[in-house]
Amino acid sequence: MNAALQPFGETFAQRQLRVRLEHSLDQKKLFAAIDADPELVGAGVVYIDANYTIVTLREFQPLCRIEPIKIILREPRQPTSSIQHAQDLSSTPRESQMLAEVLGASLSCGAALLSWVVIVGSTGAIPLTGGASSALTALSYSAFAASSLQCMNGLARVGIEARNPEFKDQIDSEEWYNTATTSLDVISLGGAAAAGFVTVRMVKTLHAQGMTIREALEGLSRRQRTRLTEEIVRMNKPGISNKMLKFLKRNGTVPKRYTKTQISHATKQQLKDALGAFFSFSGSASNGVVRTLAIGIYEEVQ
Amino acid sequence: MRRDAKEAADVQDISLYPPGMGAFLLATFCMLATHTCLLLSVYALYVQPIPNHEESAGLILAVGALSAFLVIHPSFLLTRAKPRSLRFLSALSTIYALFLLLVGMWSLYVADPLIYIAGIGLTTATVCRFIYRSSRIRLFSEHYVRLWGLLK
Repeated sequence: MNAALQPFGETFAQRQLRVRLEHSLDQKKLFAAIDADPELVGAGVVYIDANYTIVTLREFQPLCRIEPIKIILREPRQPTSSIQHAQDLSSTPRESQMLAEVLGASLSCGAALLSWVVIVGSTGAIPLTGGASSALTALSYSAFAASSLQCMNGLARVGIEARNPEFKDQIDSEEWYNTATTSLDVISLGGAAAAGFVTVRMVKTLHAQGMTIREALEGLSRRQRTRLTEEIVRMNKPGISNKMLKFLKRNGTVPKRYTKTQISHATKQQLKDALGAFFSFSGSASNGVVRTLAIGIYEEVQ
Repeated sequence: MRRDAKEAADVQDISLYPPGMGAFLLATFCMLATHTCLLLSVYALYVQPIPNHEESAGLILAVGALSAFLVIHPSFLLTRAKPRSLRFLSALSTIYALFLLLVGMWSLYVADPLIYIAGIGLTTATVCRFIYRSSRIRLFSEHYVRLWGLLK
């Protein structure tokens, strides 16, 4: 087994399997048969038993080719005919695809759930973020619609994979489908970026007043809240003078200070937004734009 | 003391998470799952096999837009003080449940594996129907009517 994958050496099961194979399998004959085929000369040989214990019988040797090639020998999980075993093996990639679809659907639906939480909460955050929430809600609406559609797409893909995998393969190869899912990804990531931006702004505002997120969640003193409120007003109305600020406070246009719960709730809201952004990003990374970008960067380095 | 009481009243007015939020989130996700099961059933019963690529592209994109219009937008409107959409979603979940019940019965009769999809869809549609008729979701809706009334 590869040393990188097996840092602590072979397990007991692997040693047992290796001993069993030494007695039951003529490995020299097997390797000679493999090397007799010019396409397979020097191929690595891996053996997987019924309990999914894996041992490498021979590492790849770059004799006639540089790209590694491995032959995998796999025992059936239970006694079965050779034809049935071959059929089972040919359907295995679909099993792994089903798992990937279920994972993708879970991530998309997790992101959609958090988008809903943002939508539900953003109305209440409007006073504290001084209107930023209105813009955020517009962006969140697009993001949650996109992530809800992605969630539905994920669920539908699971259903199609179970019932008609050929159709899923067909739409996967369609350009319009890839463009549509990429667009949904971009919209979701746009919402995630907006949430991230507002979160960073909130953290900066708190830090400017020497406060931490934990303090904001636990509750600030009256004086701290007054200072924070003034800072938020100054941020939303750049260049405002002290005189004008006092006038607006007296006038009731801006609040004197936000309540403990307002600040605590808005902070929690922003943390949830950040979490939503993370989920959107993860969903995209699993099968969307971010993953495509990562491949692009890899090729560029090459 | 009086000031604290006033602050508490303000907080109550603009609390971020209203009562019934969990019910709303659950109903929305059940509605998405129901809609997906319904689409899969329609696809299996009427559309399959899709004749050519152009038709499948147009069809799937149209279905996506329709889904947003039917399920996602009314749920959003609920958080924007439009209690009408609650009645719409309740009626929609009933229609979906009836359709999926018919699909389930047919699948059972012809022993088609579609029964699993129809069964899941019927379950989620029933959950939706119960939630959209519950007092929790009505409280949720009323909260937003009150909140948007305050912001006007």
